[in-house]
Amino acid sequence: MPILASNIFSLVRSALDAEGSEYYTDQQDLIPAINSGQSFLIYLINAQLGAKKFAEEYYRELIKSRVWQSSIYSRVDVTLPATSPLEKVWSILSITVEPELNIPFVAANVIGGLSVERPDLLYVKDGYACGRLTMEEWVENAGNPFMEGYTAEPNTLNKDYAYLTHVSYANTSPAIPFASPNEIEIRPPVPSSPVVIAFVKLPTPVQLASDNLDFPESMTDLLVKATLREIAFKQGDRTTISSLSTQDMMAMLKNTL
Amino acid sequence: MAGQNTYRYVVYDVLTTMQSAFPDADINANHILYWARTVENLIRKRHLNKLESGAYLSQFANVPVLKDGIRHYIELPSAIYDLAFEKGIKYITHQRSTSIAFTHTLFQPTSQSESFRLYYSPYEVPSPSNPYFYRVNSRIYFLGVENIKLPTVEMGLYTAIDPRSSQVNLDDTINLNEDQVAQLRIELLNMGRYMLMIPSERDMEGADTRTEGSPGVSRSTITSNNRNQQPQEEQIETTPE
Repeated sequence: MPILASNIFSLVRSALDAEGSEYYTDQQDLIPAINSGQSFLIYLINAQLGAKKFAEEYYRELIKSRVWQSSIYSRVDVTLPATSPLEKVWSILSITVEPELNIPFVAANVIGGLSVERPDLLYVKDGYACGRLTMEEWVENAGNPFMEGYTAEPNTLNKDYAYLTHVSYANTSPAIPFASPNEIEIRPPVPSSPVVIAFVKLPTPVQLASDNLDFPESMTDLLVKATLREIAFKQGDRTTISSLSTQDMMAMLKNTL
Repeated sequence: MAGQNTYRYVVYDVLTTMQSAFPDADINANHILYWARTVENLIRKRHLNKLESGAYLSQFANVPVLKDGIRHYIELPSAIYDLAFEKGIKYITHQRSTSIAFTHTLFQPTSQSESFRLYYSPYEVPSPSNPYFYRVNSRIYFLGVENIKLPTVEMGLYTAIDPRSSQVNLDDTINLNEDQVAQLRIELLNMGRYMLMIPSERDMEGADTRTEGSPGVSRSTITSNNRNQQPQEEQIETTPE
């Protein structure tokens, strides 16, 4: 259940010593503050994602599963999603190949053989999970039959898939036509095939008080404190709001992250 | 196919057990599958050494006979266990006539160096009714059938299984008798335990990073037996002037 921005605003206003004065407005103060607070939280959670300590259930509003069609080079560009509203990929949780979909997969004809998101398809079940490799592992594992991403025997009965995180294969000389600037590669190759990617999406910035924040309700107070902390910047140093909200926020983050 | 147990059960049983004991171990199903196949060969050969049953026997009908000069030979259709007295080859027969049983004419095992003796015994001399075979690597040469038409033979072999994990499906049945699967599991766990239980202090660690109190790599000093006989270095006493 997402949090209503107006709910945060009313809680923030109650903490500010300016009731009924219209001193703090939504557009000039609260919305920029809540977006800054959200960005600050994103920065903090980034470290959690990198350390693989991400609690999926805690950020359930941000987790999405979408189907892409890979490029002819078995690569996927997740930076250009077709879904509306735009879902920017923050961090990839899993990549699944050879999935069972809601309808039989028919490869779409894409100019240049690029990857494309397929909003017409839904992931149902099964498939093979891809392990994430570093650049060094990507090269070394190609010849190791016991590691993910092994390709020396293309007809192996026990494929162990792997993926290499975002790399730009685009170049200017020689120019590769239609190359995307940011692609994930999957091995053993699955060219022009369905690829299911479960990812954490970047929270959508708030534009109106009626918008929702993509965080669970349990994070309401954390967001209030983060917003208050941003507003306190305007109030100068040594304000009670700044120190208290920062102190509270850090205490909550310590338990959350 | 001797039992009903599939590799999926054994591999994931061992993998789950190991992962619960060593959560950080970088080990996967393909790895365990390869171990399982190699240990299977070991158990099968051990079993055949004790008991030559038909459980692990593979039959190859119509193996084509080739010629190397006047010598007839065949290429082994599969890798076999190297048992004593060529017992990896359970039987080779050829059908002299369609009217008789296919097991009628059996080839007897011999070796190239010993075969000359057979020709001096009227009871043992190689002939179409009393043929012999000997093995040279993957070739099986025949004696006594040089002067007959021998297009094919039938063979019963104790074949070794291909250990490559890429060549086996997880849902294939294990090539062991059911009662041997428990032994396979024990062997696999032992292999994994041996690999994963290498003490952390044996890990490659730069000497400079060794922390105070950690045992580190034990470095036993090599002492010469002659050491005590070597003259002691003279101590130079420095006296202040």
